[in-house]
Amino acid sequence: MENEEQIINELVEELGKLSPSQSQINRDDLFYRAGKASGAGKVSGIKHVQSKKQLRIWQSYSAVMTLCTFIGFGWIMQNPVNSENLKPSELMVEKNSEKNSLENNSDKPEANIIFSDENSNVRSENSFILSEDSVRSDHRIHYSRFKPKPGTYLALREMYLGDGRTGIIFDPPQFQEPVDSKPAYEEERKPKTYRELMEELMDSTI
Amino acid sequence: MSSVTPTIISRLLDEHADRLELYAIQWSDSPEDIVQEAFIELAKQEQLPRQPVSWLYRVVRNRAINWRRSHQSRKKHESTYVSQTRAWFEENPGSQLDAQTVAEGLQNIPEEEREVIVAHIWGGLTFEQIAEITGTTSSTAHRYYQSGLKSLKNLLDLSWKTKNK
Repeated sequence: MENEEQIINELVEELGKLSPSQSQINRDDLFYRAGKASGAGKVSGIKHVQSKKQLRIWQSYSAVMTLCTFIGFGWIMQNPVNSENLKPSELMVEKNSEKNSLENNSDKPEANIIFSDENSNVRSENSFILSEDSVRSDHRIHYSRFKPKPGTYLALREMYLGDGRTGIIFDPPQFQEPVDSKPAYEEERKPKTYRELMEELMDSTI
Repeated sequence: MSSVTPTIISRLLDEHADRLELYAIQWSDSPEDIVQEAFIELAKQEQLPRQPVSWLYRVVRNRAINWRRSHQSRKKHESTYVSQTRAWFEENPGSQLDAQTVAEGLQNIPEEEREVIVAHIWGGLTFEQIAEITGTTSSTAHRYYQSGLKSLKNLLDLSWKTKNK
């Protein structure tokens, strides 16, 4: 028993000679973070005022932008587009938008307009084609925000009718691409080589 | 009570960082991160804790156990899992014991015994302090210490005696 106690005491003594592995703490990082955590240097008077001033500027800017947005919406609401004058006979249900657009556009160089239900996600199924005659001056037209998908036509402009419908204006035939060709946006992205450019130049000169 | 100053943090780091990391390595693979977080926590204190060393050990213990809970893989059982990623001790030619063997021995004794041994021998904490940190009584802590040493002696027996001879 006494022997065991002595062995344990010796063991403790030997264990005490072992040192833990060196600390791997990054002291610079620790003091930096500790300084931040303790708030040292955080409440510098001038800095505080500056940040408050910047905050006020930012708040004012945000308020102005919000006001402008509301004014814009108000103007739009006060000037709704009257779509009552649209003749139903001019509307043609588009069963196959690509095919119809091709056929129509091959005869008519003017733009085709597809009206679709604003709530509908599937434009091709719930859309109509109109001739350009139906486009009135009070229809607001602006450039489209979406990219054409492969196999569809370039939708360059979008039109809001104000009655919950949206019209998409496709460009005249010269902007249409064959269905089996590469998507136009892919071609656009691809930069032309010097040789291609020179060939184009030569062709146009001839 | 004094406030927590960089000087105090620096002194505590110099004296206890490696020991705290050894204490944390029982539960965590990244003891340095846990100890660092504990020191940052100390820096946040309005007043220096009454016993800053004990306070640090308690914070390190809580964080290391939480770390183990969140990082423990399914294969490794909670009671047997200990860090294998870095050495626990520096090799000391003057010691009769092999550092790696001691680390392995410590890893193979019950957790509560290992914790008390590490905190008492290398952390320099009293059994009262250990009891306060671990939520036991000082007599229980002392009992764990004694039984842990016996277990360790049995585990180190071969190498220990061989080296002595």
